[in-house]
Amino acid sequence: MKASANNEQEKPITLTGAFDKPTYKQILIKLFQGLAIPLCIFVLWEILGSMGWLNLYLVPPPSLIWDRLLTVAGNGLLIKHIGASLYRVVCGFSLALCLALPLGFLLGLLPGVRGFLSPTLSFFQQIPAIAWIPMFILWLGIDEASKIAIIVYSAFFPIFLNTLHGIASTDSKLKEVAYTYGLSRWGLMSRVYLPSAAPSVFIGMRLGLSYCWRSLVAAELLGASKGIGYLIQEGREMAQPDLMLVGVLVIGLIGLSLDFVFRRLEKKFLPWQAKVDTKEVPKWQIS
Amino acid sequence: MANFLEIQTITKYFNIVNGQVKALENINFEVASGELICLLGPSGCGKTTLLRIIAGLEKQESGQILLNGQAIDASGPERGMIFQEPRLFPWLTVEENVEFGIKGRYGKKLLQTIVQELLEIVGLAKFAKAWPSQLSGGMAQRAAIARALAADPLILLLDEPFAALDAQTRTKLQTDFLSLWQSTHKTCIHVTHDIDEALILGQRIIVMHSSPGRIKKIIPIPFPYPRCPDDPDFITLKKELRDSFYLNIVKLGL
Repeated sequence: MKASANNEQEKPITLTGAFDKPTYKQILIKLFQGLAIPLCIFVLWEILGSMGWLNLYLVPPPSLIWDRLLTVAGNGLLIKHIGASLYRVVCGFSLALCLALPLGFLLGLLPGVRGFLSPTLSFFQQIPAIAWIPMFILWLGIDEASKIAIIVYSAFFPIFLNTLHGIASTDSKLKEVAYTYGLSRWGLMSRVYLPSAAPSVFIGMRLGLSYCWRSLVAAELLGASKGIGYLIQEGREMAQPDLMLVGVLVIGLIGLSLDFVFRRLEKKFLPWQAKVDTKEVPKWQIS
Repeated sequence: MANFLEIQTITKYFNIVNGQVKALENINFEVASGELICLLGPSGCGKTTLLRIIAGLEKQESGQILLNGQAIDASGPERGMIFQEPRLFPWLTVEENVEFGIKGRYGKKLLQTIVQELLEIVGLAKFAKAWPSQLSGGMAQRAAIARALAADPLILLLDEPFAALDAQTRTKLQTDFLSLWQSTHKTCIHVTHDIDEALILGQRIIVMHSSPGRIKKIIPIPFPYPRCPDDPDFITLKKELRDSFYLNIVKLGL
């Protein structure tokens, strides 16, 4: 993809060429690669089950789990529980964003304040959200508030710390460029600090989302009347391992989808990032 | 307009672990409008520091800088800085990088025209939509030059802009830079440690000394452009400069 001065006129340079969207074939290959291992496991699992080598109660084969999934999906239970869990995540995660983003931004800009706050924050960072569940229930009751508090707590630290790090590690060479144009403080923040920290912020958000998804299920296991964690708990109480496994699968699948959505958002909002990451970035030579 | 830019008795110290080091001592010179001046010196002579003081990125301990008779003490868009590295914003395309300093100053249409024109001047018109990571070193530096020119500065300050490039690219960019200067007649202060580069570009060469950084001599270069490095007079002058360089280095025991 090199364009020398000579052939520039004959062949117009298409800059997007090297970064074209993946073809259907590429997507299929990727899909196959990702699904190969789970499919093998399911097939093996099913075969072992049908040959009577597995205890069907302890390890219900995929066909039984699938039947159960269809049942709970059919009678509307699954949607109700997923909806309850997602509602909590959306509320808690948005709240965590509202707290962690400005705070991370501010502390990233103020290294002086960081010295006062970081030991305390590091202390809290070490405490898993699950450890707080009993206290949160005590303080906030067993209803939604305590669960949302757990989510906020779990999502806060990865978002906050990554935002702080992103802002604090803004390249001072780029800051200097902005200074030479006499940018205002606000201009410097919105046009240099923010875009420079954006990749780090995205990493924080993806981590935060996955953390809060995990601790939410823990909170629902300990005390809830709906939610996927509750579904698993119900499976336990009714001695239905297939229902428990439905819950586990759904948790993984939704977590996966949420992460996928965030990765797509990242690609959309940080198009330059993909170009930096690609090892084989084509360079066009003209001089 | 003889005294377009005046550098008056600039002194600068750097704090090190045990005390202070004098980086610049009593620097005095004047630059005429439209002049292309090369600051030439070995590494550590303070030439970059001096340029950064003129750009407003460092503060001097004493002395002042007058631009059109007015003292300057902070950076401003009338002084365009080009660094050794391109320093393009990786999250902006080439054209967005070029319009960085003038965004909001003009309407959208005019802005687009200016950027397009500048990219054509530096030979990057086809790469307007490219990301900096897709550019080679020479192209990235061209984009940086276009970005500096966009603000239409009175003075261009260049801090060894071609030093990190390979020899061929450097020669090409030097030639292109010369024709750019001849067509725009911007005042340029070009820092370099490369004797050849200083002789090819400078109308005057300010030779600097290290420890502490001070001006050794100011040499007007009489050769017309474009200069030929094989010219006997060119070679004589080059030898002279080189000897004074090496003498300095021998004396320092480096």
